Amino acid sequence: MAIVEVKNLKKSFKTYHREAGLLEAFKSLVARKHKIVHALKGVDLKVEKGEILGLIGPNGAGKSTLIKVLCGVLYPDSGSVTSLGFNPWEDRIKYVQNIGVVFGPHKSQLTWDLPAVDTYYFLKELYEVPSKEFGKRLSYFAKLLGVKDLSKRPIRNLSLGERMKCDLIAALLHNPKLVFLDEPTVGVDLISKEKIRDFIFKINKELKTTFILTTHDMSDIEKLCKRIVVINEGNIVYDGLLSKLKEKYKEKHLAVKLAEKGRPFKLEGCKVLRQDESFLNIEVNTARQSINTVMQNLISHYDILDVTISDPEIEEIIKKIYRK
Amino acid sequence: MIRRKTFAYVKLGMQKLLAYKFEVATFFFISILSLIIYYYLWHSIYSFTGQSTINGFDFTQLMAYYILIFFEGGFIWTNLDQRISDLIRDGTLIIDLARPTTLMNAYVSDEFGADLLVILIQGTPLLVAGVIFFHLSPASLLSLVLSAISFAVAVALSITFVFLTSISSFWLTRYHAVRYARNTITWFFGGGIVPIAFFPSVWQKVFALLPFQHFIYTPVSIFLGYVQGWNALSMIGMQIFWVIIFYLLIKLAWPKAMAKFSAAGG
Repeated sequence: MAIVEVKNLKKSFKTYHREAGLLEAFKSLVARKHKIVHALKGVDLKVEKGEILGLIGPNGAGKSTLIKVLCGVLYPDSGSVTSLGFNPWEDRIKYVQNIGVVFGPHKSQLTWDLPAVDTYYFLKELYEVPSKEFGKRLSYFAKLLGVKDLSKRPIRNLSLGERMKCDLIAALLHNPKLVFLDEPTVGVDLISKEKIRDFIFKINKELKTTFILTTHDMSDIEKLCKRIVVINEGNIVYDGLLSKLKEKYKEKHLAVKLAEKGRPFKLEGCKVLRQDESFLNIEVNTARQSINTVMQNLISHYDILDVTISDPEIEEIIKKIYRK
Repeated sequence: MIRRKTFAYVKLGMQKLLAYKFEVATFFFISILSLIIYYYLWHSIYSFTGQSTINGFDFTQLMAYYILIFFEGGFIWTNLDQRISDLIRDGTLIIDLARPTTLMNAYVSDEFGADLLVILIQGTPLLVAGVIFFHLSPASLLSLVLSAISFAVAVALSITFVFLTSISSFWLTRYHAVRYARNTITWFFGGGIVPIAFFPSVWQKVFALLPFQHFIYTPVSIFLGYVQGWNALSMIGMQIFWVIIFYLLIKLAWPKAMAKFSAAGG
């Protein structure tokens, strides 16, 4: 059952721009140049209950705008959204009672001057969470993320990763059915990233919470999401299973270690990514050329020390989709 | 359950204020310092003119007047509008939009909590000094009751007015100049610099048409007995009238402000 349904969603905004310099600054006092940015150009999307949906796309693709509209904090120009049975921007107050949001590292909902626990108790009152549930959840989340002692220090003294973990807890204290995470792992160290991913994974499994997250970190996607949606320039350019996406792009990577430099490599259906004294890196389009032929060609022309054949990184695939 | 949510914000506002002990200490001393400055300023004015009363105020009465004005200042000198403007500018307004309450409830209650503490912290030493040195006391029990009501309405008046002006920051990305103007106008036309009785009568008629004297001057003059009985009640009526006007203007402007915020991309 779909809990979020988006139909032909469009959103554009007006921004100002001016040239550099003091004179231009004065000019812009009188006459301003407007520019319309089309952030979403007709997005259709369905999200199933219990899913972890990965929303990816380059900077400025419209991911954050989509999240903001889905959270009910921005009105779209046209199109419709039904989320948990609500229209997010029209029934905002009732709707947001049921969702959790982390708007990335620069828009923390924790109060800067206070320890996180103060914000937690504040949220408990705001979302009317019963004391017993609140205590149980808080200690469980804190244990999972390893932030027990952190929550008593003022937010301004925490590192980015520590703050992000505290922010995640804040977004989940009222046990929302649907959670939006806008870049929850950006700027976070590897160990903390791992903790955050495990946390999301566990919460999704145990509490059946639906997550919609944006990220630039493909390991987040590979660890968490079965299904991904790729957005570019306000349009959805891919919506489907991550595994399907990998299958669709049939390129293989060959990393060949050479004993000595050979002649330049050239073969139908192959792209040389790098070739030097001791190294040859090839991308093979398996639809046009078989790995077998490539290997035979390599063995007959080069003195090979080692060969590694691998699937392309998901990042490479995404790059290809962006370019389309 | 609105009350529970409101109280959550009031408490948060208090906690934020108490986060910095130096700031709390500054609030404590700054009002006393202002009082000392006004004391010596007016002391020299009274001895220079050689008069014992100026426009109906003798020196002790005038000091009592200033003490009450400073006491009320805790609600007038608010930076609620500046905070809202900052939230709009850096886009963090969306955090409060993603919470299950109206923004007006969120910001007004938060600010109310902080202001209440400021009043306690800086008002207490002022009132103590007033009672000991300047015979500060209400003109009568009725004056005390009426001025308390008037003061409560003045708080509502001040907060609605500040919230209303802060809505302009949805259009003006930098709000600083508006805030400066608001503070100055409220303070001057409200009788914060000198009592309104000090102005020529033509000016006083203009002042009566404006809402600003009801922020500060009305509760103070009821407390000190300059306005009594039915006059006091009609002044309170005027205060309530202005609260309703400001509230309606907020209701009118708010949807437009949200549309503007949304059009700018949040």
